[in-house]
Amino acid sequence: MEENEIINGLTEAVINGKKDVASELAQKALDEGVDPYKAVIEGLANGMEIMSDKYDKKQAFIPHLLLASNAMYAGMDILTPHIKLEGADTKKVLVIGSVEGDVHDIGKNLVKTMMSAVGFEAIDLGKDVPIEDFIKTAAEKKADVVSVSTLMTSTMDNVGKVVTGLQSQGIRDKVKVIVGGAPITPDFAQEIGADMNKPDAMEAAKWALEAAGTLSPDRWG
Amino acid sequence: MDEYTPKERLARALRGEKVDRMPAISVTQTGTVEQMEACGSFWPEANEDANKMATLAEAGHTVIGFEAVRVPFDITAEAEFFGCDIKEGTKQQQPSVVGHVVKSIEDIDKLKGYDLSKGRIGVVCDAIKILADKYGNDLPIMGSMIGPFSLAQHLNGDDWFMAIMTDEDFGFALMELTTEFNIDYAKKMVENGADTMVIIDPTASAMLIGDEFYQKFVVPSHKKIVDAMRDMNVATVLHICGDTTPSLTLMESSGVDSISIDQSVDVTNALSKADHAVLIGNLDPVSVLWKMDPDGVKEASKKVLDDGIRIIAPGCGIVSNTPNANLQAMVEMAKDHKY
Ligand SMILES: [Zn+2]
Repeated sequence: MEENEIINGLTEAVINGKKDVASELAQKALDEGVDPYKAVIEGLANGMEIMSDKYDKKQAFIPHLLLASNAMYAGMDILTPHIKLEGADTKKVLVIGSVEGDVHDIGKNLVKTMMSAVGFEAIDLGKDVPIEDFIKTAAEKKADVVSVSTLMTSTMDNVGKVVTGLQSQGIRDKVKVIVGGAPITPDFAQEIGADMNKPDAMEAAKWALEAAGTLSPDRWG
Repeated sequence: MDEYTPKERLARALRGEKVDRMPAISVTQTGTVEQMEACGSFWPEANEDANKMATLAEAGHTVIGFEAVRVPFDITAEAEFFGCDIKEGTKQQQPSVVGHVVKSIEDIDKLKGYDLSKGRIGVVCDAIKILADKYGNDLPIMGSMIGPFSLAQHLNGDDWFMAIMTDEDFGFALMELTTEFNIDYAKKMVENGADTMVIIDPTASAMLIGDEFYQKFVVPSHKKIVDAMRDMNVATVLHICGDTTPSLTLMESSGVDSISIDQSVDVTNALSKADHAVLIGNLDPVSVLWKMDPDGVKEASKKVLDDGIRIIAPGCGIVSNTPNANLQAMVEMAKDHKY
């Protein structure tokens, strides 16, 4: 199989939500000596980006996105361990979770998928995450971006508490904070001192990558 | 003198019939901390005990001035009934579903043959009975339940969104179970005194799943519930979260009497889409009802009323920390409004 055939195949597998095909082609990419980084970015992530675009245009919906996401991860599970990064190319680190009190994670999972697609190493704390866990993990993993979300109005205050916690630990300026979820507005994000609120997962990911790039690489000392 | 009792007024208004003025109601959950403090009945106990539930529901009328009483305050009793793990709520927070019990068609079969007197389903029906005995001649008694699609999602977890695409047989089988349950439960609420049925189906949004899946999985199921209620002379309200503007035509094709629209819907736009369903909404429960002061609420209400909303109400569930004064301001605006 030609390299571009494999890469296009990976993109197609994600678009069509074909997990098994994505795994097979990822293995084939390794066997045929395709650069695994290229296979992830130009193959899998490209497919996810196309799906995200279709979602914005109402040509695809959550079922399609979830299937695409599963396919992307199936391929990434095989390819990522073989990617070697050097020096400044190290992956940006994302700490992500649904805030304490919120047991929903479909929105959070989609953001995580898009963040992975643009190249973040995503540390997923899951749902109903205690406020301290965001702060502790951000410090331990020397995070670039912290993403906090909630779908429930009753837990919006906890989103603010994560930002306050980062401040009181003196690490607020070392990370970019993005907050999201149905009840959260840009005004609310500003009010609690977060850096950004995006209604859309892919936009959130693109913003995060750019914002992470503005952080000093040696800020964690 | 008012021409109608609140009960008659709402029954007519929800069906788009002529009324003397706007009814003052909330079709979404009404419980707040200030009301709990006023009536002495608090979450989470008010979710578990019929007397306490009725007391807090009653506060919506006696403390706020809503011209209806409404139970329950959350949408997890149904999933709990089928055995899903629930994270208990607090004074400020509703319970939530954390575990799922359906993975296969066999699992669905095991859930058939349920007993509606069990669990919080039974508690809600008992609370309706208490409220109906006390207020049933005069006030609307609103029963509310999670809709069949969102219940299916609670039972199956997020895999549900993929299942409707990858495993149609399973998808239809689960919808059949939840729809039948919804009908049985709604009928029981009505037998206990409910005269208005609110279907809260937050994840059944065509914006999330697309028109095609909505048409296939949601519309027929809503229609069955609506028809069963119409046979009992009960008006129906459908609430779906998010910007439902493009799907209003599809939503009302189930025959539902009224649709409760979210704050992200533009009222003028929505009115031009909905053909027969009465539109209810859509004050933002966070940035308006919770965070503003009464004057701000009145101003926001005026805008929605000027846009032509048929019944002003919160766009989604009321936040528990919402001040009484803000809800009272909304009630006042509704009562003052003639069509
Ligand atoms: Zn809602």
